[in-house]
Amino acid sequence: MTSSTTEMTAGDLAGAQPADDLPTPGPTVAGTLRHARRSARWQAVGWLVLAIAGLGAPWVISLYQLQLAQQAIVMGVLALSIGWLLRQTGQLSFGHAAFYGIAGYGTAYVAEHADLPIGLTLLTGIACGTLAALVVGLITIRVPGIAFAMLTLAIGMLVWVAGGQLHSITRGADGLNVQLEGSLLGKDVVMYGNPVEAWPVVWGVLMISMAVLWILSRSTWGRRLASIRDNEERMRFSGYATYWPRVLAFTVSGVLASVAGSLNLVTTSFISLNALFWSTSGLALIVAVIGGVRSVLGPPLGAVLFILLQNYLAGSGNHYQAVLGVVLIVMVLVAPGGFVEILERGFAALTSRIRIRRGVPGSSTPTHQTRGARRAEAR
Amino acid sequence: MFVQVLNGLAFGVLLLVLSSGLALIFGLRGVVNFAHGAIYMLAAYVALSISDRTSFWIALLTVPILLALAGLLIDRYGLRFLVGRTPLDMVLLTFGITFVVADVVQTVWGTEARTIDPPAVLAGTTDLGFATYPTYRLFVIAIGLLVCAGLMAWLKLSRTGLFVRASGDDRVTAGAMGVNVDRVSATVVALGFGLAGLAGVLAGPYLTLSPAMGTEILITTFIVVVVGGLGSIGGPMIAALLIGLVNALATVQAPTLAAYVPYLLMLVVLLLRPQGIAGRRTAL
Repeated sequence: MTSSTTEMTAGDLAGAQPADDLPTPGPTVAGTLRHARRSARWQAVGWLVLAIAGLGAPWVISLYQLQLAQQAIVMGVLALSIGWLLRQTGQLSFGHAAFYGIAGYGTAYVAEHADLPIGLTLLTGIACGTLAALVVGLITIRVPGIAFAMLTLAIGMLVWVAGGQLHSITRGADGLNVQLEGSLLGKDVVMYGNPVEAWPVVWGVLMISMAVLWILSRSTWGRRLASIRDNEERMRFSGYATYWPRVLAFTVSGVLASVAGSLNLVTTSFISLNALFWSTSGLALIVAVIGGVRSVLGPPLGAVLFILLQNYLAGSGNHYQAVLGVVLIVMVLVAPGGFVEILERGFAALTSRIRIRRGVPGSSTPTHQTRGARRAEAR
Repeated sequence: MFVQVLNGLAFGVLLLVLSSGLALIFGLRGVVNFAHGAIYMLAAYVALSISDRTSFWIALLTVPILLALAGLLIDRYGLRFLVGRTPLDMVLLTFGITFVVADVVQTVWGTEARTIDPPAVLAGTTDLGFATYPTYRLFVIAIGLLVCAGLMAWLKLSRTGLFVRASGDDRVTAGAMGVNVDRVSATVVALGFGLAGLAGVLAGPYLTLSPAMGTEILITTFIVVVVGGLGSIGGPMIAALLIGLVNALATVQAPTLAAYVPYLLMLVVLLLRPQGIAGRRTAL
């Protein structure tokens, strides 16, 4: 973690948002660098604490809750892939269900027809999804804005239709029960049907995905992506390639969606055509936005909230759809940055109050931003 | 063959009514209205209840008006707050509405498939000389074409239509020239929702009512609008009829390929001409 901390500082400086409140007199370069380094260090420490604490979950929560948590994490990884793409490139994909499903079906097909060790089977599945993402990225990435969303939607639906017609492989809406065999990470893969056994792997996949995306967003490449998102023409004019970085970003996001698909297959041993339908991407997108796409913490947090909400409401007459809809509407209107933004605001308000009580001067935190500035930042 | 063309035309006209509402709202508000399918479904179910109690004709008149009022409310208390935000926020807001409507429909009317009986006048078949054809579908074609002709005339000839086109082209300039852009937007959103409502009522006796009907047709409607050209009204009208016809003919000639046709069409059009058949500007 430390090596990445030093690498990112130059990028952090370049990417410092003007909307971040600039007290008069303006901050010095050294001050900004110091602040960025410190906040990155705190985030790394936070990640480490969370990663270790999360491993203890099976001792704290019940088996049923663990099962829910596992569902939430699979959804969270998919949401993370869509949310990260949205934040980093500004492009909204409705086609990620295709990569999620292709990875799942690919794994299932290889497991059934080829006699490969389980690790290789999973890798082949993920490679199928990744390849699909690469091809889609190559074709679509130049298309701007809403048209991109529609195009990925069309491609995703094409895959869904094709999946329905390849009934002999996919078994259609009835679904496919997959028997994986072999030993994965020192355990028989059948054991992963038990949430307690699967938890370290599931949790590890989530934490590693979050860390990788966090580092990638802070790399030079990540900064360049953000610049392309803000003004593609200008970046091209300045002599930067704008096509390949974005194709790569789409592919990376596809890898993550594929990982989610394989993870789903390993933990449930079941896949149906529903995995390919566009609502799978749509739901993951909603979850990512409710959580907040600006932080890698947001999408998994959104997934946890969603699963909790769904499960809590399922007991009381199955109105979770309406409540989810209302939550989404309120979230979009009130807190465009998602749940993470609410947490951040709360945290900022808390720290500023503590500082005021201590009598520390010059501690203006983002709470004092104007509404307009906050909105501009959210965009 | 003629019957297939008429079938295609009937479905095409349904898409026409639905997609002109979607295209209007997109052109003016820049909103990709994901709730359009849900509104269409809600209209069909409300029409079911009304026509069970009174008659189909009353449903045909009242349901579009009711939904136009709903559109006014959504514009005033939802979309207006999001002016200047990214199109994504609008997508998410309407996505949220979809969930709420789906829940309401499932709670009130249940999940089993239903149909509306067409009124007695339209229930039989008509002899067209070369073929006999269900009268109700002819009625759908007539009403749909009439409404769209009316819409085009309103947009091209009336003063409000002029304001609508101006605000769609450039919201800020139109506002500076003294057009009340908020009011124009409200009119357009109400009109779009009303058209979705009309499509829902028309679809009632023609297709089957189920909680999935909205999502199914929504994707096709998106395809129509994108193929026709985002921000244009005439383009989607042509695209709707085209897709309806191609769909009906492909179902007969090449059943295995039929399901792919709309998506492939959209893929090809977007890759060759991202602004669609008649779109003037690239999509947002």
